Amino acid sequence: MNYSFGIKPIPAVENGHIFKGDNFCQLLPHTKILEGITGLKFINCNLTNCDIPADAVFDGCKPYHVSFCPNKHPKFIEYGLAICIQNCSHVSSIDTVTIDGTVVDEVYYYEDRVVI
Amino acid sequence: MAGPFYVDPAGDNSNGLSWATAWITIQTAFDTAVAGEIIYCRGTQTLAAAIDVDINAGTNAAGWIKVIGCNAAGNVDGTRFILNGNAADIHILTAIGAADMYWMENVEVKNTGGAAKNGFNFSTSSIDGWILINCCANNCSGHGFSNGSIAFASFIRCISYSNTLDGFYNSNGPNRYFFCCARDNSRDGFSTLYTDVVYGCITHGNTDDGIGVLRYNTCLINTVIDGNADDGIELAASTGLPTPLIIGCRITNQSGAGSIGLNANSEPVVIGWCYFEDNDGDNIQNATLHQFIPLEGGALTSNLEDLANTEEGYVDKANHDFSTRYVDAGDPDLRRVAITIPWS
Repeated sequence: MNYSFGIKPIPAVENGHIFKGDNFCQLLPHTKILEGITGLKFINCNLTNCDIPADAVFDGCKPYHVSFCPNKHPKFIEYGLAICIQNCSHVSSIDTVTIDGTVVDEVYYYEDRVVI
Repeated sequence: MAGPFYVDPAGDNSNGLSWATAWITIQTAFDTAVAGEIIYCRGTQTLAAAIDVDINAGTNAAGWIKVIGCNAAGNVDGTRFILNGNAADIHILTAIGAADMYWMENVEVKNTGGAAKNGFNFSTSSIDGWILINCCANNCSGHGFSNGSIAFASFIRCISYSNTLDGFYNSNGPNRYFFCCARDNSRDGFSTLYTDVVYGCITHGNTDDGIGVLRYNTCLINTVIDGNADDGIELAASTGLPTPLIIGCRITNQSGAGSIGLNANSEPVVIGWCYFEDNDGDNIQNATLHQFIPLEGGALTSNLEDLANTEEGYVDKANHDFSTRYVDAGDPDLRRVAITIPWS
């Protein structure tokens, strides 16, 4: 199942539940999910930006955290990601467009950032 | 050095010429095998660095370089050889340079970690002529299959699920997708198709469109587009380029508020014999330049946005079985073409 970005709620599960192949990707790093549930197991799940109960075990996946750039993923703004300024911290490079020695435009390139 | 070659992370890594002497990494095999040779692989290789396909290539004269996953006994039964990225912030497998004509069968890539890292990464160099059969990409921080620079490739019974970006991202072409499945990805199931053929595939449960940014000269045939959180199919806007064909598809249950079955974005499109059912918004919208052939035959019509729902009849979509139950004796023959992909 696809629970990414909270569009579909994660169902209530019992302790010891096993998730297989599900997508829990969250918009913001260190978003807590399934708080208070023990003995969870995740097999081949997308755990981007998820903080999972500490005793959970993982097979073929593990949580990691990413700062998504809304300039790179404007669709994510619809799901609740805050808008960034144009020259935000996700800028990886800037191309300038020059005519007759005068900069007339700048093109910004963005990338998501891995965070701890 | 003539093959076949063998890869097994439990091998002794001596010469790769048998299971007992198998190389422990597929990178060695990729660096060794030449056109017409076969690499057999089994088990799971956990990666610390990306796998690069950047030295050899298949040729029309000598044939593909084949990579075939095997079961624990070394037999070819559909069991996949697994490349696990172990969340190391790496693309799993990248084709670089003129790495044309590889045949990959029964291979799974997963767990890239990091940001925007792809499973099968075909977006670095222009490559041609790959065939991927029963390959799987899941739990990648980028696209499952990033096909931005590959052309004349065929993807057969491949699956891409629970990736952070698109299941199959395809900004190059022409490519062919037969009986593939894209599910539960955080963006589109299939994205940026043009000059491609998508036949007998399933795209469902994705956070964005089932098929997004559909562009010119693409054919969607007998494909299920179900339960995506945005539009079922969205044509790229403002292209005015030659028309996509959408034939015999089942476009159902797009679940987001106002999600449209087919959002034509005022682009030219030909639609024939498709089923529509329970899309949250209109079944079809913005189809101002079109030819439409209704499911039950009859005259062409312009009354697309009032198109009536039809009965979807899936067997067990909760478990990804989108074959049809054939309960309606009046179903046309086209609907009786089953889409049965026993994916897990």
